[in-house]
Amino acid sequence: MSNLEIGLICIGLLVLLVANRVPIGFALIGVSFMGIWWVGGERAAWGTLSLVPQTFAATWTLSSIPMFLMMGYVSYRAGLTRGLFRFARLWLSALPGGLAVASVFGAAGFAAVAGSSIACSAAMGRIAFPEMVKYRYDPRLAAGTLAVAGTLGALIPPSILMILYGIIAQVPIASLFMGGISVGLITAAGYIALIIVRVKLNPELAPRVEEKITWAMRFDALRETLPVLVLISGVFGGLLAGFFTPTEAGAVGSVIALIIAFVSRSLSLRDLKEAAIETLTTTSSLFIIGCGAALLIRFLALSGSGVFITDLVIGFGTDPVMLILGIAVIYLVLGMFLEPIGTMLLTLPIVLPIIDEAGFNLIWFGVFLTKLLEVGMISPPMGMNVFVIKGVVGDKVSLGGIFQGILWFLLVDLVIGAVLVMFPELVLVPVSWLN
Amino acid sequence: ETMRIAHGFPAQSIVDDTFKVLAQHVEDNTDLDTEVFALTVLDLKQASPGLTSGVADSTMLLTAYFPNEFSEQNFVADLTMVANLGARPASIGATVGGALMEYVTMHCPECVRQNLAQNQIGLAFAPGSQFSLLCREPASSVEDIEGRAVRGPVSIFRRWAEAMGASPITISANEVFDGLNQGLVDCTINAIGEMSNLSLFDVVGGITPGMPGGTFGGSGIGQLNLDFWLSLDMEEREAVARGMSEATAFMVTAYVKQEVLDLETAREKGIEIVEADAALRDATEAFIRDDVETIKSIYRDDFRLDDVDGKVDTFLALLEKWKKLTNELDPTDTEALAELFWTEIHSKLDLETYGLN
Amino acid sequence: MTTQGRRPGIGRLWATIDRLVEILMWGGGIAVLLMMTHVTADVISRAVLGGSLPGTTLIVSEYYMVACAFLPLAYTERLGQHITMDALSGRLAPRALRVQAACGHAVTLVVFALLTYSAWLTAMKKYKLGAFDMESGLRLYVWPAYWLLPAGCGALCLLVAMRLIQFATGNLPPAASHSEVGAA
Ligand code: NA
Ligand code: NA
Repeated sequence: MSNLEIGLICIGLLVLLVANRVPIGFALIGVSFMGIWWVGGERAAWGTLSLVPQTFAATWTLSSIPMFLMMGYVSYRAGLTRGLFRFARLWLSALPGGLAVASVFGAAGFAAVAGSSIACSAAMGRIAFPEMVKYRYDPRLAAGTLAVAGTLGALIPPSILMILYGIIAQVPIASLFMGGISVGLITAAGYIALIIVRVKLNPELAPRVEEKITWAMRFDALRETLPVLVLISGVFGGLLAGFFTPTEAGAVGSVIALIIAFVSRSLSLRDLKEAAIETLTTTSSLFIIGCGAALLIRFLALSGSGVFITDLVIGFGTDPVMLILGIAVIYLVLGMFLEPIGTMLLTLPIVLPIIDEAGFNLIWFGVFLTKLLEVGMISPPMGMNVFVIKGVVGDKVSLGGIFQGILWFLLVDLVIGAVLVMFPELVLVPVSWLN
Repeated sequence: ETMRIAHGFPAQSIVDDTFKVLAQHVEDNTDLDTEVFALTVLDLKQASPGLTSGVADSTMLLTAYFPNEFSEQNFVADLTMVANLGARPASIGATVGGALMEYVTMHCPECVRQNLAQNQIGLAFAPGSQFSLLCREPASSVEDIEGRAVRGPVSIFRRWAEAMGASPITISANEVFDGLNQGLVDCTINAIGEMSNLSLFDVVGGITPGMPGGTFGGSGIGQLNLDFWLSLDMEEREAVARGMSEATAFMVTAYVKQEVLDLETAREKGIEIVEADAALRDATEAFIRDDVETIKSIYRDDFRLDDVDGKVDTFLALLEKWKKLTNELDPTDTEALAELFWTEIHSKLDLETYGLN
Repeated sequence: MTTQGRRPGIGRLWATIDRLVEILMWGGGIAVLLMMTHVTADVISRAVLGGSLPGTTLIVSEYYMVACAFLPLAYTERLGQHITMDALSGRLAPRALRVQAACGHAVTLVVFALLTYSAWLTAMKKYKLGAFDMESGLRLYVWPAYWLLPAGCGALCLLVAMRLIQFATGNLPPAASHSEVGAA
């Protein structure tokens, strides 16, 4: 049997297992172990299995993942982020679809303390969905908005995806973060514009909020955002002033969040325990996928599939625009089915040298790639953000309904992707401000 | 039969090219096929256990990552700064590489035993070019370094920083750009060739070539899985050994060429290239002499090595011998260096018995 | 927790496994809090005392990271929070869903039995070698950290083995819903 056939059989088995709800990481580990045994022999299989999990986890730069998760969960549990949405709601109530617009604003703010889009969707979903239902917003618009707004969590720094990319591609993480701010804000602006246009055309989607809002209430809400502003400026200030590296920022941020929470007496021991449990379950579920993806990379490499994918990508020709479009299509297709961290670990060793060779800036590509992977978080049939929101909304909206609410936003995302390719300066100019 | 080479460096890096040289030589001179995997199969932390368990047949082993397993060769690999005492060698990589290879393969039965215990055989070392200060602000005197945050890649260079009154900082290689950019570190001690590898041109303002000097000794380019080695017949072993001479020479000279290129780019970008003043050079020499005793005591007490004095004497004599041998060559002449390694080391090994007891 | 009143011996075994899973989770919790404090202390030491605390990166990566990645494996599984893709589940009848879950547990058991075994061998090797690492002249033993991986994987094996036995004897509690991602 040829290695290519073995590769296809293993991928088939992987899809079968994952479709039957075997956790992705577990399936990756099992199938890769089998595959490595098949193409590389027994010793290679046992050797790889005993090496990869321990060395993958025991990595200093990856420590930012649990730490940024901790910072986000503590902020959420302590209610530091609740004020963000209230603030946006009171100040934006006059706009068409004001609550949906406020959700995007709130998510953008929360994104500055959360490292992943799942955390961002879950938190904003819990805060904002009940409000939108209360004011008779179209549930599909409400749920769809929250699912897409969550993607800001990975675009606006801190971002676990960008940290991982920086480590793999050996590019400075601070520069990626800078580019991420730019793309995150463009994305938020695009989403807000879409909401306003859709509600203007069809006011029934989002009835006007009949609530008497005084300026006193507005300024009161402004004060409520103070704790989270302190946290954000503490983290980014310390980073820019050179007190700590991006790797260390999550740990310092967690301590700052805890101090703010204890000073304002908004975090009980029980909340702290909940935050720690959420941090740990998310960390271990992410790391076991990481281990699985690392094993799969080794299997693909040993079986020669790496060459196959390389040939596929090179097949797009020498024209950089065709190349980048081809790569974008690959990631959009992978993103329909796969989870972003695994996708990245799996493809980057193959894609990066090609991108580099074609003369693309690796920081620009990291930001562009994060955007593409985040589209995967909301694209059918498997969108992690959508599943998270589905968990929050219960049976008020069907899964299909949420995807329906997302469709228009997907168009906006494609336009933003095209804009990034046409105007790389949108990423590169802010990055250059760092120096 | 395929020789599976897997290393933990990016594709198209100097290390990757080096292994392609080895692979090409083996393919040209034997019936073996070769495959080179860059970063995808083994990373740096997995190099030794990956070789032990046979995930790969050959890898690039940074022995400093495995302080217990390879304490014997790490001991002498820590002495690279000594090569700078007296007259500096024309190419420190060539000098230290030759001395290390001769020491490990011919004068250190304990090194061979440690390799055996890991199911490995060690044939070659290819150190990089001289370590230099890459700083935000040019630094040429002890005063320039005093009180500054200095990052050193291994403990010797952290000790040097401390001895100069700087505060040693530990951050990993991929944080160096961020660290310099934000001022978390003022200087990093690296080969000048890392300027392009880590894209430091925008954040470094001054380079002090050859200060503190020394290099990264434990770059085991010639590590092989023992079972693989035993499966080879004598002709194949000779081809692999000769390939190691070629690959080592390629890598050592490639780093020298990289240094020349990066220095040129640095000048074009307006980065100041400064010389260390006499006081800094003297202070560094004094440190090196003291540090030999520190290194001896670490390996005697922590790693339980026997006869540290005798081993240091042997290695220092080899350094002097190799300084003479390599000073006669052009530091960028790959073929001449390969020939030297072959005649002085690899051709002298009894390939039937070497590494087996 | 569903234990069987009729068979207290088995019930106690299940309770012990549950307790073990929780204890490991506490271990992870301690690691995460220590990591946070230790890294912050290092940052402060650099700013105030002008130097890193020796061994921070080594302790963080070799100990805390391994602990918080692998010790919570079983607890995460118990909450149903390992990341899955729910493509087919919507269309299956409850009984089929249970069979699907049991098959999934069987696969999990095989995979993690392999992992536990290989990690245990590695840990034994490191223990016999007395493996340690050096950073800034500090000698740090790393071999104990190699027991964290087999501990976390072993606990997960016990948990899914328990689930499988419960399924075979018709006592499987309603599986934690995988679509509920909680606060993730
Ligand atoms: Na974020
Ligand atoms: Na998707």
